[in-house]
Amino acid sequence: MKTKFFANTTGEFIKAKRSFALWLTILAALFIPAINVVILLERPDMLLVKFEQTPWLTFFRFNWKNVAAVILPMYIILVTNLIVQIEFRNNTWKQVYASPRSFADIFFSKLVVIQMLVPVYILCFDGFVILAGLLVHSLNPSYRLMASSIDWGSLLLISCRVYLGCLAVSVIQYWLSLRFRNFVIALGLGLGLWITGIVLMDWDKIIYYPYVYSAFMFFIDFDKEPQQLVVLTISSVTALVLSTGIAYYDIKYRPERP
Amino acid sequence: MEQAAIETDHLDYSFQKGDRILNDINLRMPQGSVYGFLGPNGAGKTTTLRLLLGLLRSENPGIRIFGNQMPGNRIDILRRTGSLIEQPSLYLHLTGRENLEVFRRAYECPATRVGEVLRITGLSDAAHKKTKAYSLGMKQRLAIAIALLHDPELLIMDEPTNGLDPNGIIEIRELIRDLNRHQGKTVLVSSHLLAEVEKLATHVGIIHQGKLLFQGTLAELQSFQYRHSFLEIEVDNVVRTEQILSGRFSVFIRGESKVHVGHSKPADAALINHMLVGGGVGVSRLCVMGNDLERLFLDIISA
Repeated sequence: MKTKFFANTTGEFIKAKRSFALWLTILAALFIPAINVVILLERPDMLLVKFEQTPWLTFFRFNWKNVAAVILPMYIILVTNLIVQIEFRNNTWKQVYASPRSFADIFFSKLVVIQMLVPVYILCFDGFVILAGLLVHSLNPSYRLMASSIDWGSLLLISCRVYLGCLAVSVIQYWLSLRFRNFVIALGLGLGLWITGIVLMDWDKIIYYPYVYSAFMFFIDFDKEPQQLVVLTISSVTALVLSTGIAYYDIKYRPERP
Repeated sequence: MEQAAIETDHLDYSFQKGDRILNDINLRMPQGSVYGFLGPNGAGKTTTLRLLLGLLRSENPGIRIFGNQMPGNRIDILRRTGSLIEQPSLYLHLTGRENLEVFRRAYECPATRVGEVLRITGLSDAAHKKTKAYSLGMKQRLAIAIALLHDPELLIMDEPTNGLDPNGIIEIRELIRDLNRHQGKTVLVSSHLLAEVEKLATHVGIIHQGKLLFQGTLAELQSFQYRHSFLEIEVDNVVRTEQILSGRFSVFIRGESKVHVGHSKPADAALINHMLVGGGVGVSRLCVMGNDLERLFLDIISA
């Protein structure tokens, strides 16, 4: 059973080959570091002061703030749609469902591909951030990035927390992408849900809204509010489990296979 | 009684309440047969095939494949079944071989099988081309190669020759015939073209507006067709013709020199001719009318 699931998951990776999903992963990861290199080199007068104390941590936060709030949710919405649309576009769902695979195998093997792409995106992004830091320092040594060692611990911590925060969104988007043949619907719903989260940021029940978890995981100062980390971690895991369960149940018991 | 590969028991299906798409379908498809599932567009062929493959959910549809209930034994049934539903389902950004590799994992068959099915379907030379560069005929053959990957006992094909040019139609027909005769596959092939089914099938089911109007062997269909045909005879004396034949056959006078005579078997034509000549009637022309299957098909579905 495990072997078959593994084999089918490798089959799902073959399907993603030569698709735009891989390019999107690289380009989305490169986008913010590239822009920030230009900003840092253009405005040292404003930014040098901020980088004096902890240059690498400041540089990581400078990059991650845009990614945690905007780019990562956008990337998840787009990449999930792209992966699922491979089946709709090629009219292959019926062949997939007519093969001797359990519904769980079909559902989870594709979810694994998405869950692999998101960490790959984060790894690529972290890699580009490091390279961007080194490039900035080499072009303007006043930033003193190479004067101190890279703060790997902080980078890993930010990455893991934001990834945990975005897991439920990736499953909800996967569900929406499976539910609607027309990719515009899943895309529009995803964007709408994300914008709603931004609008409702100050709502006291916002902790029940998964689309803001990745932003909260980055922006909340857990040194000052450590209890918030526990609440957010529990909320993220609960939302992940619930969304996975509901999505799987709904897809398994749909009256018609696409 | 031979074992049925597919049996349905009063199969009904509605997409929406009150809008019945299939109505009391009792299919019986013998093992080793090529079953031509015939019907005009929108008759319910694809819905039936989708139910057989578990692509439509129905709590207790009364479907048995190899004696096992569907959907209860879905995975066991699909392990023994290859399918091609509507147009070919292929990943157009992948090569032919990569497409087969994806499904080889699902069917748990050895890597050597990919080369074998490419050879069977004549696609070995195009295996490394992206399938978006394939012609429709090649795509159809690759879809059949996917269906054959796990060497299934049963093949379910929905309009496999749809959109193909005459050469492509002949190729696919030969391939299906070969799979049935030399590899022992049972094949269910749907079509809206009677001429196509007639050339291929051993058994025929005719569906129209969700109802199965005829089911039997091709010979039974042809005999059914015979019962619906008549002899058109040109004679020099229609009154005398009627006198001679009316005791044994139904005779309808159709003009001064033409009569239509009902008959049930080919030998009747010789007997009728013998009776007329023996009775002193000059017969100048005798031919069977209304025996083309296309006409019969239209008669059945418009009955």
